[in-house]
Amino acid sequence: MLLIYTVSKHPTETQFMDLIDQNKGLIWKVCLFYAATETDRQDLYQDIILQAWKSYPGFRQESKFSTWLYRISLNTALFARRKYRPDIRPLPVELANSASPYSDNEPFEIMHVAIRALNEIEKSLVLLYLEGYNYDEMEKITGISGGTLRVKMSRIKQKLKNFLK
Amino acid sequence: MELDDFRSLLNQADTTNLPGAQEFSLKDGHAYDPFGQIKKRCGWIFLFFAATTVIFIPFLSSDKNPLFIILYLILSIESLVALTGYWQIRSMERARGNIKQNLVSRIRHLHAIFRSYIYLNTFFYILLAFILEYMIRDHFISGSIFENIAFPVRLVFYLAFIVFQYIQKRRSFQKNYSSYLSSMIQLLNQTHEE
Repeated sequence: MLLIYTVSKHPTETQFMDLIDQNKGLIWKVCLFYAATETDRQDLYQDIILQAWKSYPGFRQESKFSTWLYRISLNTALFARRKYRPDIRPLPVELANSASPYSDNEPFEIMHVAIRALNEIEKSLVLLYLEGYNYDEMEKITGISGGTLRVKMSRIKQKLKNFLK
Repeated sequence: MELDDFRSLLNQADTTNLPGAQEFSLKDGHAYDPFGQIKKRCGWIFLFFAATTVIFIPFLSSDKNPLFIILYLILSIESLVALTGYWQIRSMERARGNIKQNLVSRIRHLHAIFRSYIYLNTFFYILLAFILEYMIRDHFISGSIFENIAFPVRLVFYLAFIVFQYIQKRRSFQKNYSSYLSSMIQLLNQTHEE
């Protein structure tokens, strides 16, 4: 029993690598919305993994690994924003297209640019919404109350509609 | 395109070629730290002070050179302020919890750094002026140039030094932390209902 506890408190590098492998799409989505250039995305991607590794001993398994990783990823992207976001203007479509692993589909890229134009917190809410989190889970990750989240999400959807008109 | 259509396209993406954790040096690698350089500088100032204390403590107890004592006291104040900054940056990095809790904690620690830079620093320099004046009046540092300077001149000197320190520390805070603090406040405001 003691051995099991010790193992879970001090996870091996291999366990961590496996978990990251299963969730690397999640990290990339955060990078896609928070870093302006391909170099910045790669830097942010690496920083999220290193930050997650540093914080992993504190992961208490009270929530899913992906939820915990979202929290770490968003915190890393938001709090180190001086490095990744020297320019707060929305990206031009051509730049947003660069090296996206997702699609070369134009409507997709236009939506991507529209999301990039949202403010930092709105972007994190969109990311969580796209990931399929419900309002309770979003509240746990962001700390924003359920009522405010609902209002914010409906405003975000309206903003995106207006942008795409 | 609606947000839900975007979600399905996003989830169809092929992410198999993205680098895994094995491609990064986990044990030696360091994530970007916005205050890494400042933290290092604060650590060095404190270490310099500790080393100076060890080396000069025998001279401090025997030789009562006023200039030496003043320099030592100034170094003590600077190292104390640096240590407070170092401690606050470390506490800020250790913050756990959701995004909003982290934001609140960062802002609180940045305000604590501001207080130590401005209020603590000024308080100690005022205290230093009092100690110095007490030492001069009670001849603890007799035979020094300070005794030959008239009190009003000394007072002007103290005031000028304290004002200089205040301006210097304020500038330093603005250069190192101010824009980060305003971006954190801006982020916190974004979490509130409009």
